[in-house]
Amino acid sequence: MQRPGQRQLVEERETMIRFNNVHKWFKDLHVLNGVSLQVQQGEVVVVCGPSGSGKSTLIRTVNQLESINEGEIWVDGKNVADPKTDLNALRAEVGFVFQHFNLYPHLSVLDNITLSPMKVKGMDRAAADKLAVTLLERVGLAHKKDAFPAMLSGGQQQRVAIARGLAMEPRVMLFDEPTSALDPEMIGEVLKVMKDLAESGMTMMVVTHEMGFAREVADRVVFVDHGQIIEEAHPEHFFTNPQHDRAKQFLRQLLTPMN
Amino acid sequence: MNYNWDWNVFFKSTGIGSEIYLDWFVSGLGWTIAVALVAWIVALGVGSVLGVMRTLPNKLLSGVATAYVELFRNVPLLVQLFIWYFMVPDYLPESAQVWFKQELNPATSAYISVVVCLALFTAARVCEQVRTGIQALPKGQSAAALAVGFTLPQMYRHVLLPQAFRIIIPPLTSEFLNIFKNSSVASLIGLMELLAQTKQTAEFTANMFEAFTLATLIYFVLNMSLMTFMSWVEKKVRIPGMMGGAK
Amino acid sequence: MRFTTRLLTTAVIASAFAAPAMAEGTLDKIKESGVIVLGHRDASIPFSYLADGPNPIGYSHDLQLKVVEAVKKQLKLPNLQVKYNLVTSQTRIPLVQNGTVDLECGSTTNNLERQKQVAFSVGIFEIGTRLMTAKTSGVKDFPDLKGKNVVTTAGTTSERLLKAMNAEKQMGMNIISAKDHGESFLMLESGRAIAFMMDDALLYGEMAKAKNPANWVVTGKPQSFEIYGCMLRKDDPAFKKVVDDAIKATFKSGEVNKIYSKWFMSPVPPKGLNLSFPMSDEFKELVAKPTDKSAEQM
Repeated sequence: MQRPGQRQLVEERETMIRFNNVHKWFKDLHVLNGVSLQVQQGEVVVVCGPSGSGKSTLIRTVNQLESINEGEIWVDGKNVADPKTDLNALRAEVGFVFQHFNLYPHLSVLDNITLSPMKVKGMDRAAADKLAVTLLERVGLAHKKDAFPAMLSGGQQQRVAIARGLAMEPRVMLFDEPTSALDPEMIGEVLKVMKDLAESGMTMMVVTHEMGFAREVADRVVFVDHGQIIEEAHPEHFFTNPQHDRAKQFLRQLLTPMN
Repeated sequence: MNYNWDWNVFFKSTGIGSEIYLDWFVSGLGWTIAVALVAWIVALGVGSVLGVMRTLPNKLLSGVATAYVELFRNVPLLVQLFIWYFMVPDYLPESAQVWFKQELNPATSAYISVVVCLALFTAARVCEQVRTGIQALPKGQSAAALAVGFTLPQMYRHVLLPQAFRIIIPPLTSEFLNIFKNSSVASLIGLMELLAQTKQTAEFTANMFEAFTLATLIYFVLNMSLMTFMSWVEKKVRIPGMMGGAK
Repeated sequence: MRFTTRLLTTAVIASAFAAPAMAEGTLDKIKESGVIVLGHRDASIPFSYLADGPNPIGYSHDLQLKVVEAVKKQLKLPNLQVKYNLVTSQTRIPLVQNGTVDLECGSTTNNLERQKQVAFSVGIFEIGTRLMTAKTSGVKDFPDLKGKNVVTTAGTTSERLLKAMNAEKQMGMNIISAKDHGESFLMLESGRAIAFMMDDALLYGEMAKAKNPANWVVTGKPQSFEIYGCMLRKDDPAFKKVVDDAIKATFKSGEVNKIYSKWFMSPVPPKGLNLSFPMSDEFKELVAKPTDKSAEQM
């Protein structure tokens, strides 16, 4: 994998996220074991793997919701583990969508979206409100702007959460199992919003079990097990012809859970 | 029991100027409210800062807050009052000592001591409530706040504290009521608050049941008003659509 | 609040238990039960206080025991059992009224307000309300207190007199009402007040307890005189006669002088302090002409 220095510089500009031999331990548990991975600008990468494989930890290290013990992670040309990096500024450029939405329950839908642009970027209220309404229209929830999170369905809450992430006009969006906490009939509406987002050219890293989404939208599928990337392939190849035994087994169980 | 009841006692002259005993109760109630309210405002401020400190990742800051709570919760209130009133002033510079002990009106110096004492004592209790409130929030709330680029102060100000305070309104209400009851320690350093005036009236008139009945009534009405006020606050800040604790 | 509730509860419970005893006189009750209940204080030095043992001692207590002797004789009950019941300034009146205590002898001033609730024996002591101050303070009498901080104990006659004097003569004093005599003296000692107004006997008691008694002096013209008496239930002439006669006999025989010098002119427990408080002319007068009237009635 050694490349001439010149080429590496050019590549860094095009690469949004780069993991370089990343290790992380939770006490004795080796959750990330030498992960190296790149996500190019405009690319949609789906990360999958059995539960406990380390995929959620992996995506949370990108904006340092989880720290790392060894290796490097570069996001948009900045080393996130470097103490000199302005972490707050970096996080402001990286949208994050959680499994459990994590909307602020004490704020209305509109205020959930406008809070960070106003407080972090210093946007004035009128501009923030306008932006929020635009984003709510994009996720199909403009009519709910005055509602509170507890009054919304799970699918609606997750769409608001996506709008909240987009309000910071991020360069990358990270999704940590965005549909796992949803009732089946609500999964579609969230995936639809994510698909639209991908088509608009957003760089996305998505941890999910929604293989239909992966097949249709992803540029690349990354299979993680025991803290290591075991297989990395175009979705077409991954689903039709997985190389590794554990990937085959994973796909089998996912597609026919009764076996 | 051959007790000689006399409910007119409150309208009798105390023998001092044109005062009647009822005036003593009014002035006592005034001091009780002045002590408790001011001490409560300070306690709420100091206690919130300490409560936040206890939840910070910084070991030094959380350690300081923990030590504060242990100290102020475990030393009896009376002992603390004596320390603030009799001991602390002795460590002031000479000129400040003379000012505090002699030039200042004794009621004022007693008032300052008791407010400082009650505020710092109650702050330790408020701190624990605030800490519990913050820790009761789902971990995802702080993660969501950090993920959009909030600094630690912004996260507390805009996301964690508004929710934590809503959760802890009921225990804070009981601390609020407690500070009114605890304000009666003021009588020990000569501040004539409600309980002191009650005892005084009982002592002078020998109609102690009337005096204590009136005091009980006043405390009762005071408590009910405070509780009504707090449940009004709770209703006011209730989150729409929220079940359980907030409803 | 907590205190109020507790007091009221105590009183209510006590009265419920004691109510049946009220129908008869105290002497009948004592005869029936073979027990007399004496009310005493825990820290009214040297009148009635606890020092070495479980039982109270003091000047008032010695007189109280004279009454017990007389009751034994009157009822022909040589084995009369004595029970002690500690009272405070707040509980002493209700506990006498509801029958818990038969006779309270401590440092209770006989006054008109209290006479509405209980009966008093003939006076057992007489005090004057005066000042204690540092020898170096320059305070000789009450007019010297203009514009100064003065301490007195809450709920006492001294407090009322001081406040009334302040209002009438516009003296501009700052009056501190301390919780008890010990705390009043602490205010004086720590420099918060220049003088402490109280019953002279109690001032001598505080002075004897001071780190350096020689630094202090009791001074000033007495602003009032007060007669201490033993308390018993109202409308019980038979018992009152026994009590009064016992005290009067002690006065008449001159035994009171011995008791007086034992408590006021000699070292007393627990610290072996000598109050050095000679008998006042007013008290001598009271001994010569015993009365159950209060000082304000004379």
